[in-house]
Amino acid sequence: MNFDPLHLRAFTALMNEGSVSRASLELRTSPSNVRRIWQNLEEQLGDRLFISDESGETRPTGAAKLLDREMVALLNEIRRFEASVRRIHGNGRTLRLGADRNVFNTRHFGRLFNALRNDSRFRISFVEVTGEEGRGALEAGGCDMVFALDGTPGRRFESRELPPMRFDVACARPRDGEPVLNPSSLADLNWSLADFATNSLALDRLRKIEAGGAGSGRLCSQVQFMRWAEERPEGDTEAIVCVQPASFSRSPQVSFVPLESVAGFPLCVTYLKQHPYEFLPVITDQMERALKTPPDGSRSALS
Amino acid sequence: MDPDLPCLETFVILAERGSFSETAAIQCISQPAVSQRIAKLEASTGLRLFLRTQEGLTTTREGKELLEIASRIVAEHERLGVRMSRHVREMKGIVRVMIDRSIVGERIEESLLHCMADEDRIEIVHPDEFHSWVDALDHHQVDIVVTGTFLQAGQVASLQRVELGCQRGTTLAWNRVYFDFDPGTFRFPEILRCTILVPSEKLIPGYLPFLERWCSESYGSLPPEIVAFDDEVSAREACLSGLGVLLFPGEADTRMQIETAGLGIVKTFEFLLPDAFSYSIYLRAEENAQKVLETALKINKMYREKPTLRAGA
Repeated sequence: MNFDPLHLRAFTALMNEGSVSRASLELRTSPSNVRRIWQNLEEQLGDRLFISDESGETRPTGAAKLLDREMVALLNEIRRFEASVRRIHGNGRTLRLGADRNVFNTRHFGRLFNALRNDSRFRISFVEVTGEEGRGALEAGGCDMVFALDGTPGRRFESRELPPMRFDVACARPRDGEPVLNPSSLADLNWSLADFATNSLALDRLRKIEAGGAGSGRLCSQVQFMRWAEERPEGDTEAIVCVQPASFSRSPQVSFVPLESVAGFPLCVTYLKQHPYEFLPVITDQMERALKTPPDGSRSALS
Repeated sequence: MDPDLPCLETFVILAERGSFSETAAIQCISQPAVSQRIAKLEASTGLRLFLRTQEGLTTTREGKELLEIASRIVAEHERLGVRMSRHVREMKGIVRVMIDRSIVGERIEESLLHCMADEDRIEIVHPDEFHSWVDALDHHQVDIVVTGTFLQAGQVASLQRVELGCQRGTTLAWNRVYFDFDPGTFRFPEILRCTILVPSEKLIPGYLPFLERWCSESYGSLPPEIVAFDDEVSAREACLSGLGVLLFPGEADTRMQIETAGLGIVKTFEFLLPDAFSYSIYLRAEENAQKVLETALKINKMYREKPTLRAGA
């Protein structure tokens, strides 16, 4: 004998509510459907389950009481399941943020990370996901959200743009009295742009800086930039336009000054549209708010 | 949240099998339906249950925790069905008898149905519907089992046994056209060069594993092909048409009425296996339902009083 779970649920509702109409409200179905299930169960058991009076009240028979008693073990297990789910929610669900090492190692990402860290709904961990792996990691469940310069295309994914990562200029010689630099201040310097992701995007930014009156610059890799910044900068390079890293392995020998008027690298977050965590869109809003660049005064306090 | 039993069942099977296609086949639903059920369960619990890695499907830590309870839910649901059908049988005085698919079994079934009084309510089932007849009896899926067994198979403390008959040794039979063995000089290792026709675990529990072990341990090899039969009639047909050498415990030639068919027949191991085959009625040890005991007695009486049930005639 195999009971249809839906039938068992209808039976429990009838047992608890004591009338077909109330049970159908409880189950959000029609009274005739409840009556049909009731009849099916009686056929299956070959016995009456409920006796109804003229007013529609149903009274359980001995057979119904027996079934109700036998169902206790099953219902207890179901309750245990629900309790486990609630407990896991209560402790906070693991939220895995995936990003490229370069994206992770920015003050920008650090702010985003800290904006979420104290939320009791989840516990954050970081997963390193390089370039092309993002899509696979999201699909496989290796991480829940991926941060990158561009979103992941596909109808299964939701991609949203977050406030961009702004550029700073790492200067070999301290530039006193200048809270911000304009591209034109680079004109008489030998400078590069540190590229940590897609070459075409970096090239576009390079052109924009040059168009702002910065003369001509070159592209260098993030690794080259980090080495330059950590070791005593010698040679020709005097400044590198970069997204300021959150940490260096040795203390940097350069000073950072924000670069004005040229947009930095964009930042996108991508997650599965059908993700079990219902809060992903909400925390994306939260991240967006946290990253919205505050007025200049507080920004300099960060760097 | 309201955990949905079909989804939980799919979850348990998928976690166990690790394959969407296998799970779909077991549940008789399509592969997308499996994914959909898992997605539904993940959404209703708000948790990721599976990781789809390159090595295959693995459960997450939360998935593992919930899997344990989900398996218990699925098992409880199954047990509810078993318990309720037992109550229904008890209430209506229905006795469910499992009879093996031997030729004797078929005759018992026939005469049991024949001499059933009006108030008797007997349901007859066969072993093929169940995983194991001992479990079926233990779990109250059936009330009485009538079956042949090899050696001590089925002699467990939770069951009581009424032996109807006991036969020694093992019988070999073959079609002389295809196999030109001389019964006078036949030696057992010859079977290692033939297809053998044997009773399955559903027909005579214990025999097939014993035979395989015997062949590998004593002769270091197995017959090229072992064909197991769930019923004696098809085994007999296969033997008569020469598909292989029939190998059944006890006096299989008389049980299966092949002693007059002109086959080559050899009986062996009478001294090694004095109680090789027994045909018995099994009940739960604590059985106290009047109807069940009465039916068991009736089968016993029928078997002893009607020689036609046993002999070849």
